[in-house]
Amino acid sequence: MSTTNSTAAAAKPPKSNKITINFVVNGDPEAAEANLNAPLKAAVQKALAQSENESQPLENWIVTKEEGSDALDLEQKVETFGFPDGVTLIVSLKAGVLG
Amino acid sequence: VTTGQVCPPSISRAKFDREVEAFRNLEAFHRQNGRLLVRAEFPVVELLFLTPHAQPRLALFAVRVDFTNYDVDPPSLRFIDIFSGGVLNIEEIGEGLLRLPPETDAAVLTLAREGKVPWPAANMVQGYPGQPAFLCMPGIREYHENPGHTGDSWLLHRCSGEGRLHHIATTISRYGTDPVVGLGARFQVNIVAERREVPA
Repeated sequence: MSTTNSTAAAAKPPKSNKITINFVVNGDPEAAEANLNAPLKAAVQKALAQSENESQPLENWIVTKEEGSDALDLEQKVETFGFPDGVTLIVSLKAGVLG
Repeated sequence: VTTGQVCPPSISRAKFDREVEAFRNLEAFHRQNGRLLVRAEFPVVELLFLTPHAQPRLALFAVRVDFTNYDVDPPSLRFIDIFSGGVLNIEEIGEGLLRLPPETDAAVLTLAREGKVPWPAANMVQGYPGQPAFLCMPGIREYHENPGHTGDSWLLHRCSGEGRLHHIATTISRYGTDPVVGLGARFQVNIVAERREVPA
């Protein structure tokens, strides 16, 4: 019994495979949970839905770590970016058609 | 697009306040990227745009965004002189907001990066000679009022995120101030034939 208890005490809880991403969607903050093994676009789509920004298709949005930096590849798994829990990402609407 | 305030002013004011509040909630973020809100008094917001990556800092643009009748109508945008508040004509804008058309040929881009051809950029700031410049982009009143865009009604964009203050401000940064990394000089030498006089 004591062995079982000590084993249980030594065992670390399984590492969570989820983090929270604080998106800024077109100027409005929107936190969304992201699965590390899922593509980033899943979390982005969740943030767009929560913030009622679904009228534009996903390809009309740019997601960056900082403004002006390269757009993140939304098909990559979240874990490939090495984001810490609570990271902030900027979701910007692309400018419309050229006149 | 209508003329004047036909939507109940309380609705436009509430939506105006929401836009300004959202901007102010991210004030540090906007400031870091060279965007300063210098006036917010219904129905007008004035923004100043500085270059975050250039030394000395350059104040390249100031704009007045007018939310009259928002969001039955999209906001109007004018480029202004930040000192006098006067509206600038197209000739007074400088380089404007340069953007690559999405269909730009990759080979042309390579040559442009090597400095062999000019960047095949389109200017998002448009205007007729002697007339106020405007931002030619969906979500801006002057775009939707232009005869060239009668088929692209504001109502098709109204709930899309376009026309929002954040989108307008970040677009001006993206194409106007963010790419600027410093001051340069441009000289042009024209070789011409020297003449004694022009014969009659």
